[in-house]
Amino acid sequence: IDFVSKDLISDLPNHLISHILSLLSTKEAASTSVLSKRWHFLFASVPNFDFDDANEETTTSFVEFVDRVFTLLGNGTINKFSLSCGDGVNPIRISCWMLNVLLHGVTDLDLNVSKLYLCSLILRSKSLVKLRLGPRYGHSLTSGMEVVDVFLPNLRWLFLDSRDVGLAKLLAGCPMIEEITLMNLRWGFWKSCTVSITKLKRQTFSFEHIILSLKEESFITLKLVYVAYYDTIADKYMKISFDLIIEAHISLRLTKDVDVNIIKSGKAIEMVGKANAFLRGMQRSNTFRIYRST
Amino acid sequence: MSKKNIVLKSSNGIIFEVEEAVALQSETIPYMIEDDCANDTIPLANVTGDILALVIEYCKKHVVVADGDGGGSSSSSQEDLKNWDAQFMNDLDQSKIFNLLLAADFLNIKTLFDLTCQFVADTMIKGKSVEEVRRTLNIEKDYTSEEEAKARQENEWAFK
Repeated sequence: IDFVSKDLISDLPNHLISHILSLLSTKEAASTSVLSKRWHFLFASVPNFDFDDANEETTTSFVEFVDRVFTLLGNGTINKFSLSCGDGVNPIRISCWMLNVLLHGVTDLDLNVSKLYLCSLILRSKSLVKLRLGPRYGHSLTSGMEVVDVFLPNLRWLFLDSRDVGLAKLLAGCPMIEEITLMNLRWGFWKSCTVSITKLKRQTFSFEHIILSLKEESFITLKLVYVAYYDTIADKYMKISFDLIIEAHISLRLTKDVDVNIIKSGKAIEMVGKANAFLRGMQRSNTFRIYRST
Repeated sequence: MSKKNIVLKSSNGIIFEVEEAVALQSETIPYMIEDDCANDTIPLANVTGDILALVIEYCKKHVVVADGDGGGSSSSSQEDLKNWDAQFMNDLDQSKIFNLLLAADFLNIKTLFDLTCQFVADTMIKGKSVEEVRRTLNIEKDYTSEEEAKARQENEWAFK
């Protein structure tokens, strides 16, 4: 056989070519559309898509390209979808894409956008196993409205940088969650609740705001092997029972409005006392690292 | 633990006798054994002898030793396997590679399937211009210049 001059790859069945194309970036896969007529539409029959617009000002060619992939997709399923784009894309357009992606049963969704209208719809997906929602640059994601319901029955992994949803709601809606990272979460939505998550293994919280009076009956039971907690010291801590923590990273800052004079006058000692109350909830941890910064 | 052998027959009639653990890396073969329990020889109508020899070479290298204390392979042997895989693929010409891919798909040997697809993606397409991919894979351009320009226009973003 004269293998040197024979086109063997084009004779492969479609599902094999698709599998090979799925190992490339979506951009690179799409460039194979001009190889020959056989390859014209094959790039869109893959289960994984990543649309990463490197340009700060998003071009119309990017938007047209994403639109085109959706029209070529037909009834195919999407496993993984990742989108990263700048302010140039209209959030309504992104919402349309998200609706489409959810209809195709996406299991792994990774969004890095500045504004998102459909947060609440995404947070009610039955198919999602892995979810990352966050800003592309800088400030946390906003949708301009509070998320009312969270129901992600199959979600195992979550990274969320958004101010639209409260902790309790989120945890209550994710019964299968194993690893969670929450940035800039609003304490304000956490009023009083009981949450019990048995599968959670790893957790990172970062809070931007402090709430000076968390209700004392707030109570949380988590079975964790790792917890990282970064926050300013609150006036009062809820009862926390962390079972099974193996490793904990805790960083407590003093609040900005506690100025140097107050610290000198002894308020700092009071603050540290409150932090200790919080830490006592974690006595059972095996590894403990505490960072302090002012 | 007694070791059972399985006899495989290629499409061109070549017989291979392998240990059960080697053959069972294929998820297709167990079904064939069930379906054909009276007969000891499993005919593989889609795989030629030279390709089956490669498949068996791969499976022998990757067979998981079930005895001992049941521990997985150490990281150094993982590293060795990776190097072996790279060398194994590098020694093959395109005809063998694509036939191996078809065989891995038919026999449902996931790791070999993934290895072959990844090799094709990495060495024949990734980082290459359209012209280079055509040359590497001997793909004949059947677009007219206008058609090609139009296809390029459709996915303009991909060519930036």
